[in-house]
Amino acid sequence: MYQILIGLEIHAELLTNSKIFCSCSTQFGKEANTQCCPVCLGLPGSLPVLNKKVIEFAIQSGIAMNCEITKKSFMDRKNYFYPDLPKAYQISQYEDPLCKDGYIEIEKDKKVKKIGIQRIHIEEDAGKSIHEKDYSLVDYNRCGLPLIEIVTKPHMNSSKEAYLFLENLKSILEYIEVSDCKMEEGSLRCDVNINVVSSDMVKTNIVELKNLNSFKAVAKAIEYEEKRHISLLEKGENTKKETRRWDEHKNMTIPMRSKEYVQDYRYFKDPDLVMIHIDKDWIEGMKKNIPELPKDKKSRFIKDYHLPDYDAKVLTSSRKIADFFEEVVKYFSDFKLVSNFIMTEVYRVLKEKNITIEDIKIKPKDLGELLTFIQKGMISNHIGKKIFKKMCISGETPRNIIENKGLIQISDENSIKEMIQKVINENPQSIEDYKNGKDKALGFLVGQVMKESRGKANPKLVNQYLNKMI
Amino acid sequence: MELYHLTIHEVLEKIRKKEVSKQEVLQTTVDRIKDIDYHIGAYLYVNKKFHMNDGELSGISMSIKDNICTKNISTTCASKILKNFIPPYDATVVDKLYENGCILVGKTNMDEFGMGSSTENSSFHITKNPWNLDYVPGGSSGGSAASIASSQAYFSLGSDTGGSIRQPSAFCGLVGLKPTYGLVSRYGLIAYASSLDQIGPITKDVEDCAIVLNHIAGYDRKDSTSFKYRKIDYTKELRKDIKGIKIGIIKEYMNESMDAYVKKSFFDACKKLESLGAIVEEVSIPHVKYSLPTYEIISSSECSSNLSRFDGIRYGVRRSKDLLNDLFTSTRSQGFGEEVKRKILLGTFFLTADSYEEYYERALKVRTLIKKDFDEAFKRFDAMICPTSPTLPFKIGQRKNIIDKYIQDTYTVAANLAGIPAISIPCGCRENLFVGLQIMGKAFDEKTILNISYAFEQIHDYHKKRPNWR
Amino acid sequence: MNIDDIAALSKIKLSEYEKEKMIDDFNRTIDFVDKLKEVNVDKVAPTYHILHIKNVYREDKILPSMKQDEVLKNAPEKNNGYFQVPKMME
Repeated sequence: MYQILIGLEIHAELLTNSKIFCSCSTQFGKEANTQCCPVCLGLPGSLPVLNKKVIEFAIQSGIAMNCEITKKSFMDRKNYFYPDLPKAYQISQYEDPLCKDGYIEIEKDKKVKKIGIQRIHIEEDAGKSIHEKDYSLVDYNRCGLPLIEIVTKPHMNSSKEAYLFLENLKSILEYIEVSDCKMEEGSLRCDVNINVVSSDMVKTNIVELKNLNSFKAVAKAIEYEEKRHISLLEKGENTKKETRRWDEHKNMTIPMRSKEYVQDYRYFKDPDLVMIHIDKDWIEGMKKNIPELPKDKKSRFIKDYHLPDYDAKVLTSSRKIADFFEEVVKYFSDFKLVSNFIMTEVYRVLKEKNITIEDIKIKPKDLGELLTFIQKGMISNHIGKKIFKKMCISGETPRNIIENKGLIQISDENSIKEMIQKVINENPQSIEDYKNGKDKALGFLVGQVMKESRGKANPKLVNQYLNKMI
Repeated sequence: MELYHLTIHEVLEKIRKKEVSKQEVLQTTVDRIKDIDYHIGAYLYVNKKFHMNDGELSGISMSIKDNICTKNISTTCASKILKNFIPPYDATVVDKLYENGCILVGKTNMDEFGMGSSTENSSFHITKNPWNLDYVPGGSSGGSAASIASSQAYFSLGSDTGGSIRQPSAFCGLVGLKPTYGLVSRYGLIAYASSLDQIGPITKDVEDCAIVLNHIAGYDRKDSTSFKYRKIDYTKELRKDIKGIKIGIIKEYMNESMDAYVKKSFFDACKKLESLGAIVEEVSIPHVKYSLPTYEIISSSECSSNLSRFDGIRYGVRRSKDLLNDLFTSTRSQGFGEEVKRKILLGTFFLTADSYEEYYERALKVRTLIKKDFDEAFKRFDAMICPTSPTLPFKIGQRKNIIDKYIQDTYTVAANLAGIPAISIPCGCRENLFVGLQIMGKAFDEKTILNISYAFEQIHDYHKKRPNWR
Repeated sequence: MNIDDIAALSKIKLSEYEKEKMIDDFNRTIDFVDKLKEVNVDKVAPTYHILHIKNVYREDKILPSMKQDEVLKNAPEKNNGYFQVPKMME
């Protein structure tokens, strides 16, 4: 038997307007080297001044992750040379991270497990390099973006746990609105530390995994490494203490070229920056700003809206979705129906269009109205979904769409019977088939009636009357 | 006396009385530079385009040490590595002086990155002492001091990490002030050792020193280590009687080896101060004897990190094009001079994980003890005095040994370590070789040491002497 | 850590002659600073900042950045809005 030990190091970019040490904008996707100034370019003579919001976001993250907040904290310099690091040192935190000793809970097989957070510290991001065939290009726009680095304890024992942890972490950071956690834009990055212990306490060396561009990649890389470590142990060998990168195409980890020279970061307190003193009042103020967290919201959804555990989890995985749900139920009180509609139709649209709930044009009130129409049988479920799609694009109210297109469901007995009679007259063969026991024929006839009504006939009634009339 | 030989306050008086125009004042400096800098080599760059603002110092020409950034004007730190560097911004002090009407006539020579005490460590040329061309002007702000002693500007800004304003001022018979750490913004000063560096004035007399200080002192939000202190007019209390002021002679310094003439001048000065009514007594600063090694560790450690950014990527002179590591290494090996490399290597060593506690942290602790000693002594004294340098100016090419070089800083580094203000004023002169008297004050109490200096100056005529140049 | 390691960390290459001199200077300096070892610093806190300033911050406000050509003005080598450097290891 083997136990696998996994620790994660997560870098999350903070949602401040300006950079950590200067007033340049943090906006993503701007033209190269247009969001730079003497400070973030590390020009000689320039000096950093810390953005207060960065500290507050880090403290909020710490509170949300049950950390202890450090009273006296400092910024340190981490010295190494690299073209994307303009000062040849990164301003980070070494001995006194802002937050330490916290945890995040994950739920697996109905059991709750605490994953320890060792520390959360703030630091500046480096620039971005583009690698051409013969040279590299550097863009310093990203340089000086504020980051928090979250380091976990090696408390995860499977790729599944690591995946769940990351999902929870992401949703916490999104809830407290300190990071948008977009892995594709690099605003969330994750490195893995992994090793394996056998039942007779033989351990492999810790291997660091990099270049993990999605939570799935994290899980896959862990699974790959787990096998690799175990097979080495079984051969009586050990892993090299090294850094490996995940190769998405080959589905395997590959050792990164190790640096031939010595490394020593020569940390020391940055003499250009002063002590960060966080007093009780400041922490209390921050606590007030922490919204209801996913775990609590989920419990409340189960309790207040009588939703199944699964629904509550899905709806509260994103604060925006949860808020949307709560807005809709103000106008339509069948909670489970709202939940179903969001989990199917809303998610479908978000996925198809690759957008977020904020981009959707539909107002909660209008969705409530739409659901009311469906529930009252004024429109069919099918038409309801169609109207919903229209609403998403145009932002029109459902009433408008229905009235403009004459989409109100036909439930009038006479009209329906009239249409049925017409279909019966036109399809004598099908009537014959049905009478000969071919059940399929009934479905065909229902379809013909619906077609006749251009989808507006109440299908329940059509079935009911058709049965009687044949 | 020629117009260029006058002090700031004398020239301002003449402008006010309309005896001379601002244009004439500027022209006299420009002509003076053209006529004599060839012999002295005070400047690395002579400005040609002038812009004159109104303001309290309107029309006054200034020279600025070449490690203080000036927008669109080359700033090299007298290093080959920055030979072609043109800052896109002005240092805060430069900004303030421009706003008050000062005119920049040129950038002055220095020991490369401020490392040295003779200006012989400039990568470009040496600067001679205007009083005797066979002698060094001191350093590292040797170009600044030489430019004022030879009347090639009315005042200069130097920088002082361990004596770099005071020692050249002493060697050139001038007044030089290192302000309290945090009084003058460091924004735009290319850092040597961030926790020790301060910008300060070099002037012909004490009143000029107070005038310039008035215009450069003050909180700057761009420098996190700048201090919010109430605004003071330093010229106001210059003329106050110094009767009853308590001045301490630092006992420990008197045991150090000292040139006989320096010693004589110093004790004469003590007697003069007593004759002015000051109470002059011995005081003990027990840990002051450790200042040099403490300084050596702290300054080189910070230097090794501060000078890392000169890597040939974003600015400066790049050597070698093919391999990244070669680019870093050849750029730096060819770009830095010997003394700078020595400091960087030493500092790198002190900060490595294995030496940090043994050297760097220990030095920071001894710094605490030195500061405490001064705090203790200042409870009983208003100021401390000692010679500025243990030697007279020495001949060009005379000092080779590194320990000899350390000795130059014997009396000056303590003020940087303790963060207190210190001024050097002339107190002796033999065959055109000057001796400086150093007066140290309480933090942010520049007023008192300027007051003592002014009183002392009035009973001498050093400030009226000009070297005999045609 | 020997002089070669320190030089490598500093990205400075020393010629044989320089190295010899540097080792000599190093030894003298180490002897010189070793004087601090006679001081008892057991209960002394290190001075990170000589002034007791704390909590110096800026508000999270955007100010204009430099123009791209200004950013690249001092660049030894540039390429289409970027700083160009020798190929880095990915």
